[in-house]
Amino acid sequence: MNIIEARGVTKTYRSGGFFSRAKRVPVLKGVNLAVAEGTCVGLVGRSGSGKSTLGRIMLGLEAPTGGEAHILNRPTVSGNRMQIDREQRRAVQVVFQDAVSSLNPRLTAKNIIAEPLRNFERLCGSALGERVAELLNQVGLQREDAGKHPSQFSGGQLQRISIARALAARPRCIILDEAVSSLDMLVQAKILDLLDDLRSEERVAYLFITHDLRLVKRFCDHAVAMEKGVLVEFDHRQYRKAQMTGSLGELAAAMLSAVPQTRGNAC
Amino acid sequence: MTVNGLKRHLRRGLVAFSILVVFILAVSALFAPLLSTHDPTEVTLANKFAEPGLDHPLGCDHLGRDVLSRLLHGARTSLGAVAVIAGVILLLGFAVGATAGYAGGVLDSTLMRICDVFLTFPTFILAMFMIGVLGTGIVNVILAVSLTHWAWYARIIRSLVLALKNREHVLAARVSGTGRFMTMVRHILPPVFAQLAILATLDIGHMMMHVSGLSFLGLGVRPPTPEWGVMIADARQYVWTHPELIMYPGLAIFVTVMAFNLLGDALRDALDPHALEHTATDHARRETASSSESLQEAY
Amino acid sequence: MTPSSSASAQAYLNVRDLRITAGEKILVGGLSFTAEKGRVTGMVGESGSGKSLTCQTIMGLPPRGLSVSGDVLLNGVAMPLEPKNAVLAHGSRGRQVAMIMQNPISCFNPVCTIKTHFRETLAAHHKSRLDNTRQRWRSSLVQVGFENPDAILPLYPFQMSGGMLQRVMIALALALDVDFLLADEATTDLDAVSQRRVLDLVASLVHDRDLGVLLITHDLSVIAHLADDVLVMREGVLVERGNVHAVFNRPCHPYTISLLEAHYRLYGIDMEASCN
Repeated sequence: MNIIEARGVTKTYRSGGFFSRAKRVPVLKGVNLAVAEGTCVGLVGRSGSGKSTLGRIMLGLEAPTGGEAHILNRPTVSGNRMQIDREQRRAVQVVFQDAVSSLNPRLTAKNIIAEPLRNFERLCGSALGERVAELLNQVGLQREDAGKHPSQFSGGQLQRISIARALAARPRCIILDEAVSSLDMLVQAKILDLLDDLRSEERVAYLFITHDLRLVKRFCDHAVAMEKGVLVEFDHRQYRKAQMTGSLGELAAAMLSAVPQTRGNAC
Repeated sequence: MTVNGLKRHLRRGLVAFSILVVFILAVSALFAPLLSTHDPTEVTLANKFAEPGLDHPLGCDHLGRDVLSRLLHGARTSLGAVAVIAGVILLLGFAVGATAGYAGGVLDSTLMRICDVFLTFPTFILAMFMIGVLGTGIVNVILAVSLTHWAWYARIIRSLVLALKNREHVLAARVSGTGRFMTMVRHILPPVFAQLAILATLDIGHMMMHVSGLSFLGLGVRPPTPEWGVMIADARQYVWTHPELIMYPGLAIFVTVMAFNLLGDALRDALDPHALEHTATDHARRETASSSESLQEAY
Repeated sequence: MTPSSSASAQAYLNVRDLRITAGEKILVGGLSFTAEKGRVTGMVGESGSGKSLTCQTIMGLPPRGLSVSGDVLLNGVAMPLEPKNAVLAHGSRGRQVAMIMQNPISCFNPVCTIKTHFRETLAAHHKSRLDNTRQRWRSSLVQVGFENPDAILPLYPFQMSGGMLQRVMIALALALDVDFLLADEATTDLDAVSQRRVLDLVASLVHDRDLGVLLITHDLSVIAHLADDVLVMREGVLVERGNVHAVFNRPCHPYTISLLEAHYRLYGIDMEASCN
């Protein structure tokens, strides 16, 4: 079954204010994308290509201008308003790129992770504390970290807290919106390992949004690329750079090799 | 101890001083009838321009009224008016600003156009207009100052709400299942309140000046009610012979405005984490926190 | 593998026994290395390894409250490291070394156009009127790959992408005729295409203008792509250095090995197969 799905999703932004003529900026033009249970789909594209917008629409945070977004095979919009029931809401969670701004600096780690637990599972008191500790351990943090504030953690640890918060809702799918792009290499590796482990433990699907083609090869089952507002499928395991065109071709050409190449001025 | 350390001590001293002053003012205002030795409106021409003594610590004015008692009662009037103004402005500004910011769309535009109308009125012109229509009195002064200032707060609160609305932690709260209203309360309002407290405190001096200024012009309280601005106006004609009659109320206004400004500064340092200096130890701590996390596995 | 002893005599940048502490905490301990013109020296390590701090200190801008000791020589001339003396050396240092940083938009004044940035930067470094001309600005912008420099000059920073801004930073450095460039995580926040463009631009400048570069990054693939030599930093200490091929193929220090393992694992490459 598809956990989240976009069918012919179009999104156009209106720029301009109250009295000026509105300019329409099309960001997505008829996008079709589905994430099936337990799979990992990679969504690749350049900065500003609309990948995050698609992510937000599939999360149910925004309504598409045209087409439909489905969570658990039910639409997210009813009539003219966003309509998401409880089961749908908990089925899809998110981890954003910037861990610092995606966590409320005034709350402790415990309260941050507790928010979905209170909303979906109605936990409180010691049961809540236990579940928070369990989640912290699952993402590689300590029980004692629950009382700390975001300013006391490093970037990688903050991202782990974000992941713990996403897991707290026991989702069927997690959207990872450039979730490792801001982390340094060692931490990226650790977080991706963690996500791999969690995928097999929790049987959760991922939509992995990134601009780094090399990560897609390692991490995802299928991959699609955002090309001027539409999606293009490609085989990320067997691709040949020469066959890729458009922005996918640019991304492929821009990829850096993992090992040093012989250069003219190497000594 | 470096220059920085010295500055920090000085700042702490000033903060303590300002809190003390505000406390004294509040006590004077609340307990003025108990603290004054004489009736501030009692005219005793025999005591005209009496010298300061045990009976009249600051002397008497041109009508024989005890200056100290008048100052204390004046505190009541001035600070009381400012407190009411601040309350009205914050309530109205907050209601309009937060609604406009969070709701967006047509409601936002409409409310902001209403704000724009009120922002165009200069305080004194509006006050004079209202007083011309409704007559003098402290209530009309309060109305005039409130009506011209609330729109500014509404705009500021709206900008704050707008800035916070699209922060990722607010979006994340919605994804975590929190409803729109609770998201607003838990994630958007706390920083807004913090900023509001700072702004209002800093602005009290400004409001004080308006109230006193309007009273000085004769548009505020009716005599013989004591008020600092009125006291200055009354003493104008005696400035060459008895300058202290202007000095006492003037000093009172000055000290009040300064104390509230310092208090506002202190609140900002305490409540707004971004205003604080980034110290070297914070820097070092962040760096080492991240390195120890990455090296948790033995290599 | 150690650099040849004659290298320190010709080295453009010579750092000797640099120590940076915050109270009792040692952030950088006894760091010594050299970097030459016409070569890219990479400095790699994780967050907290002291690489950015070293870079800022070479520029004369260590954060306040830290105590710094040691020598930094640029082209044989010792540079003062205390922040208060840095202002005096600012003029001469600015003309020799430029720094490009991680978050390009924060390096620009948001209310000034690119043209104003050029004019004021060149004027601040005592470029005479004759040198501070539109012609010069345009030629710098062309050198960094902007085909239509006249379209760029009137723009404000928020109208440009991160990659474009980073290239403008490099153009500013070129207009100042710098000999050496410090790149502190300069491509970390850029997407793959912009990153490649900036890195290739730097490579061409190294080749054409004999520019020396100290490339600081946490990303080993950037090092692999661009650097000639690499310095591996861990918690403020240099643990390994050498030619980039040597370090990647025959790493000595266990920490370097663990970095390489993580690097290859991240991209699903078998490490044994890559090391020859």
